[in-house]
Amino acid sequence: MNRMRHWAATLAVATFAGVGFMALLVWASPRDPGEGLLSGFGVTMAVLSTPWALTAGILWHAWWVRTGVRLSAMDAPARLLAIATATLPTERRDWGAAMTAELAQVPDRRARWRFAAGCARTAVFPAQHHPLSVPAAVALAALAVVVTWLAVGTALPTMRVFAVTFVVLVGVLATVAVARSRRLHRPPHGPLITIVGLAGVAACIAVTGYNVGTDASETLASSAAILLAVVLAASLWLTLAPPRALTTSKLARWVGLGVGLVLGLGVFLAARFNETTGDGNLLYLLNLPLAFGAASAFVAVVDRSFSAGLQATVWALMVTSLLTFASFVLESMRWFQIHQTSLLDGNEAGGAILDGAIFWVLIVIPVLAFPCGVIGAALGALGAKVGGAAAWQPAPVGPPPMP
Amino acid sequence: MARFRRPSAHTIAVVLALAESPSTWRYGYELCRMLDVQAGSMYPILIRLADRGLLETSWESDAPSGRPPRHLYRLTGPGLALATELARQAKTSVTGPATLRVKWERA
Repeated sequence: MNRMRHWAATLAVATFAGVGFMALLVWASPRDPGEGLLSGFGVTMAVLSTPWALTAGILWHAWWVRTGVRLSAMDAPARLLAIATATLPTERRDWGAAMTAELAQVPDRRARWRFAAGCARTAVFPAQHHPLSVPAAVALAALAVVVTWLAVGTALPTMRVFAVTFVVLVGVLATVAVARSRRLHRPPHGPLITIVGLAGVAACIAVTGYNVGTDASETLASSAAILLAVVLAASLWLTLAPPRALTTSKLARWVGLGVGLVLGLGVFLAARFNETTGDGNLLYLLNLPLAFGAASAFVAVVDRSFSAGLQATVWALMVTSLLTFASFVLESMRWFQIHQTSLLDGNEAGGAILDGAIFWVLIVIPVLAFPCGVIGAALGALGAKVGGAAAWQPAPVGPPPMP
Repeated sequence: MARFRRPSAHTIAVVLALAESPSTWRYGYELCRMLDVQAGSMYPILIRLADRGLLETSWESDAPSGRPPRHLYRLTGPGLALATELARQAKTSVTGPATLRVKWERA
């Protein structure tokens, strides 16, 4: 793909993502009959969709530069093997390189396919140390699902969909982990983010159960329960077995963790310092994504890497979502006891705390924060590149100065 | 802790093939063709043997330009001892190498 075609493809990806996001917004929030299509409504939709269009274009470009160019020069078996070996853990990377080098020696197309498919299977699901480990993991997961269904269905029926979905997802992740690894490995990103991640997941489950258990009017719609379960399971996965691409920058992890802790604490403080109306809380939540842009730009500049900035965004998003959700639910409960209103707008009655927390913290914040982080990382990396080039000066010609 | 496990017929074949010329470095596709074993079976065997210290690995040092260096394999001392034991038991076994029971050190 030449340069022109690459930029055309980038533009197409950005347009597709922007239009898709706009269609989603229109579906979620249809136009009022009295609202002008091209004035207020159209402009609002376009403004909200533009960051996602930019994000998609940036991600496509970064993927192409990093991986796509290399893949496009390969035939299909080599592509299959390259994708499969990219999933290997660090300690097995040399085996991926060995398989790749060997494939280069296989001349016949049919033999290449057979060799690549066999190697890909080995890379994705290596042989088990014990042949019964995967069936045992599946059986344990199935047992856990049944026990959860019965126990939670009896004790907290409102949480049944959430609990069962969460256990199913954790069971699938555990089975995949058992199938892919002979032994448990310590997470490669250090103990602090592991502790915060696990504590965050536990806190979210605890506050959800506490809220449902203490407020009989509280409901948890199936879609919201499934979304909460998916977010918590994904956070657990990132905490315990993150992909290699997210663990290359130490600075990104620290900044992401710091941003998450500060923003999670901020929800608590915003609620405490806005005791009269909920407007300040809403303002805080809506401005919170800007921190993602600043943090990822900072990391990208310091590490001189777009990837590092992107990693900071992911870690910050994970920690922020967990801590903000837990803080939001607890503060909403306290707020409702005092004011009998919603934490954010001061108008609604209670009984919808979880739905509100899931909507604002797990949908609105990520939808706004992720593009901010990606754009920040891109600007940071670009700035570092331009600044690095400007800072470079040719060495002076001539003899060194006299002492 | 030592465990006694039965190596597969493919594993035995790989070990014995490598023991035929212990000083020769072999590469993966060569072993696949020699033994008519698929890559999906061969590499897990090689990885396990290497993990257990039975296989020595190295990278090709004189790869032609434009081609990545290949990964090469040969048996270590314990690997040769295992091969000797396997060969001895294969000779005394009535039903063939698949029924062999050998000491299989855990990695």
